[in-house]
Amino acid sequence: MIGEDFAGVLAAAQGGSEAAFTRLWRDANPALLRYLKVVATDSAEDVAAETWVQVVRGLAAFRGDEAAWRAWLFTTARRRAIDAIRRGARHPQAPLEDLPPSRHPVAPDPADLVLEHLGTQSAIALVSGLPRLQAEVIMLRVVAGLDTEAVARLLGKSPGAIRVAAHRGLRRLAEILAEAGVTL
Amino acid sequence: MTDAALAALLAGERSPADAVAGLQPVADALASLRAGPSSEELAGEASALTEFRRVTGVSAQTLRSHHRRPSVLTSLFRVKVAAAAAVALLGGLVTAAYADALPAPAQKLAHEAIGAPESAGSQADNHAKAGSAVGPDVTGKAAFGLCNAFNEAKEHGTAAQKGVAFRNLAKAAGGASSIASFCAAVPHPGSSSEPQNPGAKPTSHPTGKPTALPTPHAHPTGKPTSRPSPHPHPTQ
Repeated sequence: MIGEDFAGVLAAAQGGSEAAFTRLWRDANPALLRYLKVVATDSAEDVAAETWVQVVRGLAAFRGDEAAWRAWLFTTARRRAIDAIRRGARHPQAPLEDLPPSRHPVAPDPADLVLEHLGTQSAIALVSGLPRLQAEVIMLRVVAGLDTEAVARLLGKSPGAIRVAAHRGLRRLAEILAEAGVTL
Repeated sequence: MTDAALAALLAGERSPADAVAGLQPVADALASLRAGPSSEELAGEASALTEFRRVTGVSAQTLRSHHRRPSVLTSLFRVKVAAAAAVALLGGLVTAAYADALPAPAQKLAHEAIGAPESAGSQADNHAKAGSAVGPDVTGKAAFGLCNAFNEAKEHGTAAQKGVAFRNLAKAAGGASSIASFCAAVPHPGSSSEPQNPGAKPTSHPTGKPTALPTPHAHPTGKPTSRPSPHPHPTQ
């Protein structure tokens, strides 16, 4: 997160400053990729690139604070991910939550978690093993930094449903890690 | 494992109770999700920047193009604004002319061109001997012009209503409330019922051939009946 400098950085980027745009990109792209690895699996890099193309085109017209900026960014990324998954799965009408299990990312074997340090990629793989809504909510809350209300708007759910999904996902993660005996 | 503890985890807040509640591994996993970027995650910067340059370049070019060539709608709007300004200016000049508010030379020109009253200075000169008040005569063309000015001011509400011409018009009409009826009775300068000013110049020039020939200057004709006498010569 950029913080109190965000308004100035955004204004400079909208005015054509490459340095300001680079700062926006470096701040958001890692989180964007991590989120897309959960919702778009192996096409995450392509979807991220498509997302930035669309964001750059709409950057001059964007108005809002940093929370709104990240909500816009991840909303755009999710739409591009759905398009990519539809193209790949040839199921144009299938919503993200209803994709066939074969399209879901493969969660790591808990036994493998014992053997390696729980790095970022392992943590992403661990969350990817959760039910779709729980995984997406945790990534949007933890990685994207969105609050419950913003996630609810983005996913078209009620804030209560988002809280329930997040808590269930965290409890499930705790169970998986306890079974694997992962400790640091 | 309380909801409050789970909410704190989502917010990135850790507490000593996490270890007791068995949430420490989850807290560590979430911390890994928030970890700093890897080099792979920053590898796409160049392509994103290329797209940024392309879009911002196009935007700047588009702005310059729009600056050089205004849209049809913008041009139409400007033409309408210019026309409205011209009409307002012309209306103001006409009103000022009928209100005798123009400088003397312009007022004289307006008097000759559109029948506006003569300038106050001219009127003052004309009426100096009689000691009359400054202001145009309220009969004939002047009355018609003053009525026009009155109507114009009524529509646009200009300050010309304070002019001498309006005061004279109100005086001539027998009061401000009678101006409308007074003006209704004033004939158009081009109509046959216009009262003629005996002292005014004729408004038309005679046409056609004259009915009588002008008297020619008399020239002597024929031979003189007498010869001039020769110069006398001195006698010896």
